[in-house]
Amino acid sequence: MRRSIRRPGTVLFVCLLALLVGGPALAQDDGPRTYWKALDGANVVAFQYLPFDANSSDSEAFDPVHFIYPEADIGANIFLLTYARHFTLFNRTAIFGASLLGGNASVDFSGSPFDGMPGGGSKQAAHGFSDPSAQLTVNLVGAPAVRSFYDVSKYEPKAVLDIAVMGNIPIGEYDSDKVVNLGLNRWWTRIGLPFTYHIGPYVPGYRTSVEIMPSVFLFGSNDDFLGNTLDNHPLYQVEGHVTRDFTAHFFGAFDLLYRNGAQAQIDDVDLGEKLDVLSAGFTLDYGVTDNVGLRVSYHSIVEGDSDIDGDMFRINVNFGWHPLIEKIKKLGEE
Amino acid sequence: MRTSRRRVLFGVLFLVMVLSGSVAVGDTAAQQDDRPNFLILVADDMGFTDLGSYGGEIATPVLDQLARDGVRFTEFYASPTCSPTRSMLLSGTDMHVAGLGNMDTLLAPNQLGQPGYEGDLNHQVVTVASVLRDGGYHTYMTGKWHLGYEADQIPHARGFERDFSLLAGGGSHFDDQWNLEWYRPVAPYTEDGRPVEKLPADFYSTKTYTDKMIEFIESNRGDGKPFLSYMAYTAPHGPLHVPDDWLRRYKSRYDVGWDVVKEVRFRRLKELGLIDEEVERAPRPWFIPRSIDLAPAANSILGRKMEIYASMVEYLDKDIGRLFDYLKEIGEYDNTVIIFFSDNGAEGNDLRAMLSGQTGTLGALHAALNFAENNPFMWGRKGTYAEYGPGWATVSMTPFRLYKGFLSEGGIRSPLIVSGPGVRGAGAINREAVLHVMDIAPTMLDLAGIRHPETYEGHSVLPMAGESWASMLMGESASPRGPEDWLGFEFLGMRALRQGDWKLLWLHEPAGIGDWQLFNVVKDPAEMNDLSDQYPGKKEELLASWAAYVEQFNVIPANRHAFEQMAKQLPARGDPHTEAFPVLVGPLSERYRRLVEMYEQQARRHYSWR
Repeated sequence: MRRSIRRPGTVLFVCLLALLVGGPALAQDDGPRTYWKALDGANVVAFQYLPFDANSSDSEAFDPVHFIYPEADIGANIFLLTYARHFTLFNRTAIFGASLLGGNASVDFSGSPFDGMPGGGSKQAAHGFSDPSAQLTVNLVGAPAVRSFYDVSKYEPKAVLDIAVMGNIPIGEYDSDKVVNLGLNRWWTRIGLPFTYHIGPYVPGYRTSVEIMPSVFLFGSNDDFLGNTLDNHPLYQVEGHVTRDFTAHFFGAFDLLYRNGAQAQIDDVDLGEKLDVLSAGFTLDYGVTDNVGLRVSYHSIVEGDSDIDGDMFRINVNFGWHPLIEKIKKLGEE
Repeated sequence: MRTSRRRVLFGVLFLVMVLSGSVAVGDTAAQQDDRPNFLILVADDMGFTDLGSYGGEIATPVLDQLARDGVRFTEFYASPTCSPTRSMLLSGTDMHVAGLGNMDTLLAPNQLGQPGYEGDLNHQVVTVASVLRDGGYHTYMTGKWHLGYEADQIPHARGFERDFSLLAGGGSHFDDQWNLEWYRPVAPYTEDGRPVEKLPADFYSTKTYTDKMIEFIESNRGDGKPFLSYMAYTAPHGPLHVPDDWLRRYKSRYDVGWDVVKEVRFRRLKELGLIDEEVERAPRPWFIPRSIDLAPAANSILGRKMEIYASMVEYLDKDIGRLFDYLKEIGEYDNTVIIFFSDNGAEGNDLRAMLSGQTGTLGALHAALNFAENNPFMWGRKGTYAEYGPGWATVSMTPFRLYKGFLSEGGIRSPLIVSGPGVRGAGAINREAVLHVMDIAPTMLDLAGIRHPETYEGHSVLPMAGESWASMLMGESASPRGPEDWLGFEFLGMRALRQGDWKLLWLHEPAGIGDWQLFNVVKDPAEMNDLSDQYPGKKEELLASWAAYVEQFNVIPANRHAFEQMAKQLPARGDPHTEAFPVLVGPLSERYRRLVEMYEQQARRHYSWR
């Protein structure tokens, strides 16, 4: 059933939520040192937990052009499972990654002037799995193939530029009668150019890096959004990190994420404003063993026309291995 | 030692010159002194084949040019370690009477308290610097001293007007100034006799020593006096350190492994005419693996040490070039006798491990504080202590056996280049002259026309035992020594004697057999073929010379020494001829052949000596 959702702001609110919970790339930044290279054949499985809390601003009276409803709260508990494999493509380092996100998300409109908005009452919730996504990253400059231990022994990156292409498969949980969903019911893709500049020795305990990842998201149409067609203009994003080893197994990063764009359209009519948000935070990462790493991040929205306040804390446990290294370890144990 | 007729000749010549007023002995106010300057360039732990002119693939264009302008010698001996060599260089006599009968840190119980075993340059000898200074020379020193720490033992007290010196045997090459030994944790430097509390932030040993020497020469430029510049560089002694922008200068150049590089250097030695075609090379030491058996990553990582070593050597060459340029600029280069050599064989011992000691010791604490970092990507930088080990040290000492610390040729043979006014035979290789580091002092005094005193500062001093090279350099003779003249060596209980083409050698097991061996080191410089049984008479003859050496220089072979545990620590050694066991056969042999061919072609593209 086609429903009227032309009330200003509604759509972009939904879009924001979708960006936050709609998939790993959409939900957050990629994180520091994500594009660092490893030996061909190395694998990483990561499990991530993101409790998310965002509040619309109450600093202003309601403005029809704002896309966030005053006094509305977003809450989410997201679990993200990712797998990455390092390999060689065209004699360059490459990474294939796949992600699956799940969990629950809820929006509380209580007290909001738009309590009782289309698609639900004062509260809406979703749970289940989001759209699976995959990403291919191939190095362009500065990181030729690392196929062997010999290559590892020579690998001292300085300026590294990659190209990364990501996309989703829209098969996640989606209810066309609700505005709050984990699946997006549409295709999207992202193209980015991760760039890392390594300062000083590339040696555990001494590594310092400046990382910038400009990217653009391109969205397909959701042709069943409360009976309407939802489109978004491209979303432009720049992610930045400055990372520094504290010890050989412990590093920290200062993180920035700026997003601009994603102007929503319902049935080809612009609604609300585009997204324009800057968030900042930090990451701490500790290598518990040769195989296991633990990472925590805290990010907060610090600037933006979107008039939202948000905090995001995430905890990530990852397990990495390379079959040959594990075999060599076995030899050493004998 | 024989009494040199040439020395008598030079004495007469000197007397005539003094009487005619052409030499101003003791006259420091000479208006115009045409005597030559002396520039003594000492590399620290550099190997025999590292220079381009000695068969190496390291770029050393400056020293190669020096070799083209001067003469290369192949039979030049130093002591197996640094401070004994330096004592003989400056005193002109044997280490066992000059105070360095043993290294200060290695003195044996039976040597303690014995004259000549003080562990520092004693006052039984007067340094050539003191004699030259008193003879009207400016005397400058930069670099490593390692001949004593007390006020009356440091360079300023031993004849050098100006100095910037590291008193110790080694330490960081950077401004962090850590010393090798825990009990003297801060490397002791002096400048003009005063302690240097803090090194400049841009300190890098080779660079700073060159800067200081230029500063010293410049400070008295144009006053008409000749000078002695003693440049005791500490490169490429460990820790292997080089400025960051030089770290990867030789990246991947040694990935082929030490056996391949050694083979190619050996061929190059023959090609350059530095050794005979028939000569065999010493095999890889029995306790290190064949590089062909090592995984590429292992050869890459081990090769990185050699890369840094090569960078250090090239940096040294470059800075020597900077000094040469300065001397040319001020018009002194053509009047300077330049002598370049290394103080001993290349370093193959694990000094880092020795200094670090065991966990819980102060040595381990010192190491943890100063050079704990051992990641291969960090080697060469501040806070690290990489050494290139026996595999590469024996490459540097091709074709000889073993390396620094041993009395086999690998420990005591050094490259030697001499160039300057009056040196005849530009570009020649002299393979006849059997020379010794203690010859340098008498050579300089000869060329300066200055007598060695019998007394100094009110007490008698020992005569020099070295032979002057003056007539050899002038082309009047091939060697200052005849077939009957001998050179003796003793260190840590090891013994050796060179006489003519022959060498008597006694090494501890398993490096040796714990007994005397006899080698013809002209035909067999690798000391592979013990000829004791074939030439018992020759052996007896050399043993008699050894006894004379012991008598003349109060040689007391150490009864305790650092190699006591060597037999337990190292695997048993087989027959020298089977050290390369198992021999390369089948596909391995073919792979090795291809690697050698490939590397030879690569090396040819890089040779600085063409």
